[in-house]
Amino acid sequence: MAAGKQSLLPEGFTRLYRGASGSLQGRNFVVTGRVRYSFGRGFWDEWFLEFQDGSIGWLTEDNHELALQNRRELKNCPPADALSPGSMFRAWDMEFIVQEVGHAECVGVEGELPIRVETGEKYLFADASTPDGKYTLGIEYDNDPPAVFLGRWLKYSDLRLDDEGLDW
Amino acid sequence: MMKDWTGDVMPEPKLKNRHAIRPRPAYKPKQIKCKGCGAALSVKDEHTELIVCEYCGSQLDISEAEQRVLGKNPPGKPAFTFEIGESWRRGGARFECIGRMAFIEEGDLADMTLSYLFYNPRMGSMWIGEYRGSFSMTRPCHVMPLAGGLGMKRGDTLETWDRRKWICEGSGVYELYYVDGALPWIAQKGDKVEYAEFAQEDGSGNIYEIERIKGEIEYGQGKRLDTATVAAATGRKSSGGKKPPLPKSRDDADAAVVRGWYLKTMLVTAIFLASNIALLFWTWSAGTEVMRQSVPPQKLTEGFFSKPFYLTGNNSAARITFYAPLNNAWMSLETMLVKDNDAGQELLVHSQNTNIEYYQGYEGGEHWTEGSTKEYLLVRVPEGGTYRLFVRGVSASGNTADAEEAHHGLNITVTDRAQPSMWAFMAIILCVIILTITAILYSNWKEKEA
Repeated sequence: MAAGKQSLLPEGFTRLYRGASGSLQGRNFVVTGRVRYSFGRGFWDEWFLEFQDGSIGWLTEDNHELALQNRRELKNCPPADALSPGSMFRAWDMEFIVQEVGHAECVGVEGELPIRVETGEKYLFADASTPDGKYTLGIEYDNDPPAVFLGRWLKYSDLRLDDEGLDW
Repeated sequence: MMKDWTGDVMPEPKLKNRHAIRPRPAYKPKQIKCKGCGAALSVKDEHTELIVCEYCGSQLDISEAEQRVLGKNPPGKPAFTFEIGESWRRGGARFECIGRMAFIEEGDLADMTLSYLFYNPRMGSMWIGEYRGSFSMTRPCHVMPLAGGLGMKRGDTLETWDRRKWICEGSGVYELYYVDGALPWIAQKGDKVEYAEFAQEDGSGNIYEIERIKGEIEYGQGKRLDTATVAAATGRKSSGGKKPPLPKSRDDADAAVVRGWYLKTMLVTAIFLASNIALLFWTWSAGTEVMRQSVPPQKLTEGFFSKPFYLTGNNSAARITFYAPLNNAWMSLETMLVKDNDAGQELLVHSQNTNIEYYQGYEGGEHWTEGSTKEYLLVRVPEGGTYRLFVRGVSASGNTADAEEAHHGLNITVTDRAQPSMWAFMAIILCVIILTITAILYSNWKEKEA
């Protein structure tokens, strides 16, 4: 487990927080860390989860919406210059529509993470979604081949926290 | 023993990283100072990029480290129903109104669409829309339309990838007229929002929205809210109460419901019309043939009495069909329906003259026809009994105006109880009128701005 460079990230504004425990689709977990990326006109958070069975996972939180992401291998990953908002491509027999192509910059890290991430790191990314609204696909073009993450948007009820903190 | 937020007992976590578990950090809104007047402002949502100073009205861009004043709102605040800071309770959670926008279309300041951003740090945000006193709630979604969307007309059908069908309530371009509170993007007076709004086809009150703001397309799903739901969520009432009352709704009904009403009316009328037409044809052909006779030309010239036949009477109608094998010829007939009474007398019931003519030819390479080789007479028969038909006729070919004798034979058929009901005709006319009016109203409704 590599420790990310600690930086002050605002807390208390979201459902998740570092140190939160709960269950995701019936599996107990604890949130051990977070990375925040800026895309210029806003930001999103990547929450790192450790499950009871020892497996790990990343929860992407974009404007209070959560998606559980897993790294997947994608042969013939489309190059970034072939993608633009609205364009379509197929992966694993699913159709994806590109929603955004841009540059992300890490603006904060906290807790324990399985990777080394430094504040200020930048990479080119593309975000796509299946048109039925179920799946999200993130491509990070910082390595060759690019890292591909397939995620599924979560309903509020998919995730239960031991402390939901509904009184605010 | 650990309990979750619903009060259910949770299994004790057996996590390797249990040491990482810690209490939820407190929610503390970020405090900033207005660059315009120096007043302290509270930023509730960390995604906020624009905040409008509640004291001096300055619109502040806080998306960068350095605050920027973008401008001020126009004088004359729109008549918002909900105040900044007002609570909305949903599913046991409190949402707080943190932002408001007023949109106009085509410069009409008297007909604003109001939009409220309600926020809960744990559950995210939701949008409450208000138009003419009717409310709706939407949240962002990722479901896209199969085809179309923006630019659709009221009443058009849209299908989304989750296989739901929607009826367009309206589309157009909103112009942002007024903004206050806090928003997660930089919104300024004059911003254009291309929109299309849809109601679920099943009339459930579910809604779907597509918006294009500064080139980005966003989708939302939600529900129309009735006054009771809004009152329960906000503690406001439609009249009276401590808080100002909710406005009275002036909005049209759900587009899916209205469209459904029109289509159902047209469908029912069309079915009724088709049934009546079918009934008409059935009654036309359903009579009982009681006499059939062929008459040679010579006999027709002299005049003859047909074979006797029985008619039911009771004011039912008998249909008398004359068929003559005419080709560019005419036939003139004198007909009488007589009843044989018990005393052996012949009583004249009906007398009528009729003509049959049929002409055809070629003109400019096209075949034309005029008239028919058949003619029908309908005779109301008051009493049942045995009847006979007296027929006398003459015929001629071409343009001959007069004739002394018949040159063509004649086939006569008498059908008892053959007349369609007058009510059937009236029902058909009524159906056609209803169908036409409904179609015109539906067409006008589709064309009318929502």
